[in-house]
Amino acid sequence: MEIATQDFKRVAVMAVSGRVDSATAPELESKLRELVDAGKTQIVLDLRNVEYMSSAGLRAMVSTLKAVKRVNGDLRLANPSPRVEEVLRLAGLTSIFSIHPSQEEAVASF
Amino acid sequence: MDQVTSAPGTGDFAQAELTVPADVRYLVIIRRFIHEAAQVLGAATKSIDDLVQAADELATNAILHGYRGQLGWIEVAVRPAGGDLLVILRDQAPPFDPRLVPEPDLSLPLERRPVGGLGVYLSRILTDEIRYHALPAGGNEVILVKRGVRAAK
Repeated sequence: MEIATQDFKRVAVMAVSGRVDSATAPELESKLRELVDAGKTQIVLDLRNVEYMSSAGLRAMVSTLKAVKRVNGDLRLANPSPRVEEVLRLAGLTSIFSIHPSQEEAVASF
Repeated sequence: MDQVTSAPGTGDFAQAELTVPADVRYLVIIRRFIHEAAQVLGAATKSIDDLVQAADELATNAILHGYRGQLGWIEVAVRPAGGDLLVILRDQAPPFDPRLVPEPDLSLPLERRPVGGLGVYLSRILTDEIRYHALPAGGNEVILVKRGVRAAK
């Protein structure tokens, strides 16, 4: 798994690539936590290059969403593959995450 | 317990097996192994993805909540049964029957959702059946079944 973060004026964009499983999800969660701790609570998580997402990755995302919502921020998702989107749907998360077809649209939604 | 090993041309009696340390860093190897073995056995791609994820979720559970950092092994086998495909997971961790885990309430608002608890649920909905046996010598055997996913011989 690789993570690249870009900081825009109002939004931080974190692009994740590779496999998010229980071996790698703790790193994703801590990188997201760093953003939140730095006061960056409007976050776009770009999932375009995520090949695999297990429940450990979902856990990192839900935990971050809870943290940013408490301070009126949001964690919005961009570009999930059909497979990742299906996993989100099966896990009942499409109703609590705002999901966008591109990074640009996710950024513009803030 | 039947210990049928691979032999070319033996159809339903062929079984591919893998043993890895109970360490989350080996999950990627478990996933690749199941993926490759299921492909050899002619399973459809969507079914392979489902079985791979279901097995990853349950192996993760065994490693993190069963062994809890203690040394141990996860055994994985991929076995055809007619048109069905079975993934068998064995461990020597304390007894844990994934069928008994209550379903999460997916209608709860965010504030009341637990952050975790989705792994076992996903493994159940991604498969057609989960069988469980507490092994006589200790440990668990979980069999994940995906039906009608191969062109049966």
